[in-house]
Amino acid sequence: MTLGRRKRLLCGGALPRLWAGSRPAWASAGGGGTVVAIETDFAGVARRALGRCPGDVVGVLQGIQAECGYLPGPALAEVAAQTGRSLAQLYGVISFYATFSLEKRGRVVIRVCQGTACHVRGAQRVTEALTQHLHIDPGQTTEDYEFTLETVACLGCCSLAPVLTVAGHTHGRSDGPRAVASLVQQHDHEEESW
Amino acid sequence: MSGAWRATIGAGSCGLAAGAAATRRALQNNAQILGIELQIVSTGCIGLCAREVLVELRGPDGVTWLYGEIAADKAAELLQRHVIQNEPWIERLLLRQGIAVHDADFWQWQKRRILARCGVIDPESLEQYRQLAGYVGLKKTLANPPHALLAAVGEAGLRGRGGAGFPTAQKWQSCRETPSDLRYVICNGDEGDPGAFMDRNLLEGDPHAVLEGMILAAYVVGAAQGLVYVRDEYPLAAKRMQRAIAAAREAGLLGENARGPGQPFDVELRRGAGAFVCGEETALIAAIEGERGIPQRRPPFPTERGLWKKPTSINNVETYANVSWIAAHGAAAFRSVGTERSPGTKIFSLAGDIARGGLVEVGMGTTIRQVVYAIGGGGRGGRSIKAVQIGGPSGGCLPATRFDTPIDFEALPGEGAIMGSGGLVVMDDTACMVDVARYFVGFLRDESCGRCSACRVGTLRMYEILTRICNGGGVLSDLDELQRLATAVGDLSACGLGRSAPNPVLSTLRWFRDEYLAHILEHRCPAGRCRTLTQFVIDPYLCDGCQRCWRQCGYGAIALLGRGVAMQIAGDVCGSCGGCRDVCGFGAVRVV
Ligand SMILES: Cc1cc2nc3c(=O)[nH]c(=O)nc-3n(C[C@H](O)[C@H](O)[C@H](O)COP(=O)(O)O)c2cc1C
Ligand code: FES
Repeated sequence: MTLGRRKRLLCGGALPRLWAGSRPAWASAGGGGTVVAIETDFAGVARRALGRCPGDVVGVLQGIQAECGYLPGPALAEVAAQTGRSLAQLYGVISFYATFSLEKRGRVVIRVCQGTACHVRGAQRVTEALTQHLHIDPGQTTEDYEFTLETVACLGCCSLAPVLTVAGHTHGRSDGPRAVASLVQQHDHEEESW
Repeated sequence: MSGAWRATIGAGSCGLAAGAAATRRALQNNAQILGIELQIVSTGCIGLCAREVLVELRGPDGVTWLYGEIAADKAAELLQRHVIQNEPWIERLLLRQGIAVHDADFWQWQKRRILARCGVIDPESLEQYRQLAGYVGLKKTLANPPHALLAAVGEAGLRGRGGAGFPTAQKWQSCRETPSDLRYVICNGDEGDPGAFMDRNLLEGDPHAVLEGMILAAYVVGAAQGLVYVRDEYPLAAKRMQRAIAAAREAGLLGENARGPGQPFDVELRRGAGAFVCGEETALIAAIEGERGIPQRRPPFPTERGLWKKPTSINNVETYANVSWIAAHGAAAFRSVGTERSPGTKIFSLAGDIARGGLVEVGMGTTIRQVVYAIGGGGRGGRSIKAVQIGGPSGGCLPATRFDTPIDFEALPGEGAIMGSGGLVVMDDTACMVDVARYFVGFLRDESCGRCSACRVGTLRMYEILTRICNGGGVLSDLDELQRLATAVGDLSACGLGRSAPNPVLSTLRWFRDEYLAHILEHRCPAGRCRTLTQFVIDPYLCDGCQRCWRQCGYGAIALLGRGVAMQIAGDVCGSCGGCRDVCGFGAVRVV
């Protein structure tokens, strides 16, 4: 855990879009994004997402989540208004899909694979190590909004099990508490995947 | 050093997860330092994931050398040995010009037909795809009326690779014959089955083959619009597919005259949002329409009333790749491999406790034994294999005694499993089959859409019972209760998820009843998985004192008495997680 960034985060809105990813929405929808926009005109975000993929509600929500890291209320209100759906209908869609989050998530999202191959190869130990290291359970976010711990069904790298993604980067053969801890510490030095 | 060298790095998601990006950087830097003229290109997954990162070197003489396990810290040594000293690094050499040096069996028993280009071409290059018979079938097909390809696919006997094995030609025929002004083709890239990665690899390694299959299908059924649905967990697959679509548009393969003059066809990419049930075709349609992904009752089938109420033909990623192959090579060639009723090849993803996990393609009708032992090399670290899980949450576990079952659409259901989409998860003697059943039922409980009460409540109840058994609180009547519940859930559910939900429970009850009994009657987990029933000890006669388990232990439960002295586990601190057993190279950690 990098103290530096935590402090910066504590300074409030001084560093707005510094960490905003530049990848297009479809490349990082929901999953990997590590984007926390602090100011942000959420309705504007929603309008942009609507402009990118009209007629694709799930795509619009993914676009918003990719930009904000979660689905903020004002953005959803805008989507509801523009698409003629009620907020309740939208909520129905959102709650159905695992990647959507209505709560603000951490800057770095860690997702531990719970797929069959990873389960057999010790995914539970990885989750435990992370829980110990970050002091949060799966589904929770650290108090400083640095890390969110999530589980995921399969990342498709099953032959390298156990697998986890840290800020959108997938790591295989990540067994052992020390290995996991060092992954979490190193996430800042990772460059773009390819 | 004379002439240019080329390094091809396997950069599928699996390669990247193993550190391909770092390897590329290291190769680049070291080539510069050593003064080697090195061109670095990327390709999709080469197949032998167990040996990632895979790097293929091609010298100025044109000979190719495939090396395995080239992590970033090995890049310098590789270049030093192979290029500078001109001596192949034999220990890590897998293939020399296609001839196997190490892991020969992995390649030898395969029939790489659909995967032929995967891990060979640059997936983002339309040009390279064309050089290897790409878009040849499309050209041939467009010169003939649509029903010619329909007949060829029918003659080839192609069956859907998404799980159910439905004859593709029959599906297309039905879609084609439903009167409508608009039709859709959809590529199902949801691959929700945990432990499977065939579709991801095709989308990442050979996206144009899938795209070509879609254009061909659109030509047959008369669709003007296609959609590729890629699950959220596969960002790289989505990216590569998106680029392939863009390249095909630019080349005029998609767009106004895609299916012939004046017959437009275009493809759009949609991302899933994390729901297993959205792999089911009617749920997938609901998801694309922006609704909750709840399966609808069939009939009407999507071929009659599908996306936006129009006739829609949905096929799996691998099915489309097979269509491209048939269009290029013909039905007779397709039938030359496989069985009478399941012709062709099938791609399997081998994972779990296996020595050589990866992506393999074999003729239908190959036995599980051949895939697991010949190609996969048997258990990991020489452990004995207990079972394979085949077909994902809808499939079942087969014990080692049934490994002579041929893998095709007919033989597996008789054994209580299904072929499914092709995920094979191998389990050794450290896997508890009660725990595996609980895992799958828990997965299905989470993923059930909740519409049918049998599925919604039944999976929950089964999960509770299985959890109780795993914790040592089970009673004998639980087994009958499980059997009854499982049958009820299967009979009373509307969609494939619920109907196949009992399979993991029923197949483990059928083949591994002794493990259930050990949990219930003896309060013992023979595999050492169920934590409340497990205690580990270290055998002082086998322990070498290497301290690996001590470094691994997250509980601080292993006493360090000194190097070379046997370790000991402090029972009261130990969490029974089994991490020590996994890393022990001497088999010294045992279940009491
Ligand atoms: C619960 C459930 C999940 C499914 N998941 C997938 C999937 O992930 N990928 C897939 O191609 N088919 C999946 N299917 C099968 C599809 O409904 C459909 O049969 C298939 O896409 C048809 O393509 P094919 O004829 O080429 O096999 C699933 C079915 C069910 C009932
Ligand atoms: S099971 Fe974990 S990546 Fe597939």
